[in-house]
Amino acid sequence: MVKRTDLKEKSDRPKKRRGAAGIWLLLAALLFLFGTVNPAFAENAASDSAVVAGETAPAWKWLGKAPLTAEQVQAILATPKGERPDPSTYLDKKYIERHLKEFRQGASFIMGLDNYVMFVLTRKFIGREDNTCFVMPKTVCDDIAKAANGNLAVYEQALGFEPGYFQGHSGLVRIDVLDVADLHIRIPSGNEAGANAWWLPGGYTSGGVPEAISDLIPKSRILVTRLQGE
Amino acid sequence: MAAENAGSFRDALTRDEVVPFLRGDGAYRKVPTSDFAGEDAPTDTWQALRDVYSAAEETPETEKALSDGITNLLGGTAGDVYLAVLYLTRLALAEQGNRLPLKLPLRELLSAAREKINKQWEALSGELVFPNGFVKKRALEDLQGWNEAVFLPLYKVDILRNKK
Repeated sequence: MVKRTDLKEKSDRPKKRRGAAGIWLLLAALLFLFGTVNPAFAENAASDSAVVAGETAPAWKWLGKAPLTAEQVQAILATPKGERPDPSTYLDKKYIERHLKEFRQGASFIMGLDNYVMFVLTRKFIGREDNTCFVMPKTVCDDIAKAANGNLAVYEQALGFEPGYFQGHSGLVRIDVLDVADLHIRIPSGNEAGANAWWLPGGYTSGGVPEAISDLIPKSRILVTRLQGE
Repeated sequence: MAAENAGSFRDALTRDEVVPFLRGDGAYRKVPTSDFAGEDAPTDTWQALRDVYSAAEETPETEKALSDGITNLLGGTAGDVYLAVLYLTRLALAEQGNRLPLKLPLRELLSAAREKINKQWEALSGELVFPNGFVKKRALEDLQGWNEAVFLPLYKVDILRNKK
């Protein structure tokens, strides 16, 4: 179904590069054809008040880490991918419930614009062949957005992307899913196709951001916000 | 070969292993550093191309090596053809965003891709298994999506024309 989309530019971030502007125009056109954007959400993200890093610690900085010993972590990581144990075998039920509760207000993830065009915009479902998609709590993504205040480098550092990654993609795209009730949000086991060499057991990225996996996400359900950055 | 070059495009050039590099075979496989990257491919093609761009700053033959490498991929298996088109999509987006530091015959490569997709159509409809173990299903859906989102509007090239 084709829906009208309204992908709004952040008013305080003028386009600085003709090429980048071109690709954003393309994205807007493509979204018209393929995508779904909630303009109100885009406005909301654009109006995030600034949080000065160092003065107000963003939530993702002080969320607790998994209650695992170094030996447990090493043993899990030493287990070949595909054979790693289910998190319920080494995390207690209360920890898992508390962790997944973070996602009740929605799940989010951030990706480069090029990857968005290649792996989201042109598909009906978001995720990988093994029916998984890594997500973070929307509330944590909100905190990162506030701390970043448009600075792409803050996103890169918080989420484990290489420096310059988002400039190399002409910016980033934030994807939010508010209704996650039937998406089977769960703590990753490390067997997922998207679990990389830096994956850690317990539901946190190596940078300390809480993460989970969902089933494939219907594209019709996502809210898309873009950020071109400086 | 210096250890820091192991798995790099420079390394691959020296060893005449550009195709294995592009395909992410063995030590050439690039893995996204973030769980949220969303790259769904046998190797992180963004990282691979960044490596190519870096090599191009010092090695004049990089452009031809990349172009030849993609051409060779197009002459390979259905998986190779899929990956070649994935690279072409990424290169096209970079070119449109003025982020492509190389001069590549993208239109010629897209024409070649159209021919190879036609030849590999049946295989592309099935499950693709890459040498590094990555499995790709529904490859044709991606090709159709990239065609409609990138090649048709930006290059007026229909890589699936022979199948319509």
